[in-house]
Amino acid sequence: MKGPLFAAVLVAALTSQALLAEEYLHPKLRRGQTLIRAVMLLVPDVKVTKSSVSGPERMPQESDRLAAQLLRVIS
Amino acid sequence: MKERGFNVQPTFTEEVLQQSGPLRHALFEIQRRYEDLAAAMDRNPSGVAKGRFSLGDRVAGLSLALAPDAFVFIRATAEMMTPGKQALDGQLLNVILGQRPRSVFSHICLVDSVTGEVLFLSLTVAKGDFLSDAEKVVGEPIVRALQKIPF
Repeated sequence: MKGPLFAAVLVAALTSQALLAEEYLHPKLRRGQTLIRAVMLLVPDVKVTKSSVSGPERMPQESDRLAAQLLRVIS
Repeated sequence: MKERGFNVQPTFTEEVLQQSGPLRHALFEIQRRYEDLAAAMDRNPSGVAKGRFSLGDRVAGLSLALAPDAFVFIRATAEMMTPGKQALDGQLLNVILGQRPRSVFSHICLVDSVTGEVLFLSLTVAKGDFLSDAEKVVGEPIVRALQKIPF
């Protein structure tokens, strides 16, 4: 019984996508005192780094690509 | 957000910013102030639910011509580890299985365009190949989070 359970936990840990998802709403928004109808997206600040033995290294092209994808997803 | 009925206005383009020096300066100042606020919110995100965080009414200077209800600040930090780094960190199982651990921390925040109050904050940490499949790895948790904004 322990074997399959361990395997299931291991598979779940290796394949899990969202590890944390938290949302917080201002009391005004929760109570409906403030309504949001129009929003403006500001330029995203995205940093992608490659962590190697020699230390972290910035990846500007990947950062720009992820920023563009985030803008598309959110809008 | 468009699918939910929000009126999503395009972000300031480089051309617009180059034409308007004061707007460029105001935006730079607000983004700079937001960095400090974002760090405080990441340390204590539950303060948003208590209405503790605000950028101040300087944000009103940005919205004179366009008048959105809120500005959306987007921050993300992503990391990918090389096999050598994984081995050094003792993650030999990942090296053997050919897994490349990649994680993305995303921070999406809605700020009232008049008062500067932080109205909504979403923090997500996702794991997966965000470079080839960003819509699934990063997009899905964010879309789920944004659905909690009352409309």
